[in-house]
Amino acid sequence: MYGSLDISTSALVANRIRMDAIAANLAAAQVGGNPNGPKKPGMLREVLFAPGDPASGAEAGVHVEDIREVQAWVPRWEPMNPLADQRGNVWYPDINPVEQQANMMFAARSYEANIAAIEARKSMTSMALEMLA
Amino acid sequence: MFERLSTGSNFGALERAMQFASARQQIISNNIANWETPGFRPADVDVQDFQARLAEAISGQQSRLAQGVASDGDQAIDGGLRLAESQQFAIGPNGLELTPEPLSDSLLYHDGNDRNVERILQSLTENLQMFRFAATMMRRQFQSIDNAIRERF
Repeated sequence: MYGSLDISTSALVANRIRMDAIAANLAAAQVGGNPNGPKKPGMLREVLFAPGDPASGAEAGVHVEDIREVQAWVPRWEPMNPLADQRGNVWYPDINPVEQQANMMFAARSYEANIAAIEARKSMTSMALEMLA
Repeated sequence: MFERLSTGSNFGALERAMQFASARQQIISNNIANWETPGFRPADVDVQDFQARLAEAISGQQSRLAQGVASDGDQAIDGGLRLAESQQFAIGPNGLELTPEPLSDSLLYHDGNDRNVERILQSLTENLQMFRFAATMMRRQFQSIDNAIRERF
């Protein structure tokens, strides 16, 4: 009976984790540094989903399989910046804010769709309980 | 008289319909949960096939009742409904058990998922309506028995 609530909740958790990663990406987008120096630049994190729920061992549901750290940086020539390397370049993570924005909307819509599934299950349960009265 | 109360009414069919909607809700929830998972193929059961089987079972039950042969061993299970099982529908100890099959009627995206969000959400709504219908019918049924007991019209 509560199986479908477990499934929807696993998706809510997965999407919250994705939303956290997107927030971290947007925050890290402007963090410059030197990959080979003491002060590292920010990093892009990509959340990968996979079917199944290892927390409960169920086949149904969804979980975060991996949070991949993408070690890709783009240089910007800022010779006056104290973080610049010998060539005057400061390295920034390859994070596209527009792409992150789109992912954020996906995560929010996905969250909403799963809330809709939970609402449907809740009204089914209450309808079944109404028969007792 | 009490035997006719359970076999002569459609409690068995309504019970199966509610079990079907309840089990299918789980399948639809899984489709929604995984609508952005790479490589996931949404699955579902054949609703029209189930309804056809249910209709067949109901007419079989009616004709057995008319012939007066409803009293056999399996009537305790679902009021003598005898729903025909298939690959997708099986009757287990916990009622109707569904085995969904992958849908393959829509575009396969480059992440290996052939999601169709509108269809999934449509089936969610349809399934809820089916459950609501069966639950309401069942409540009415109980109400009419209650009315008969209280001799109230």
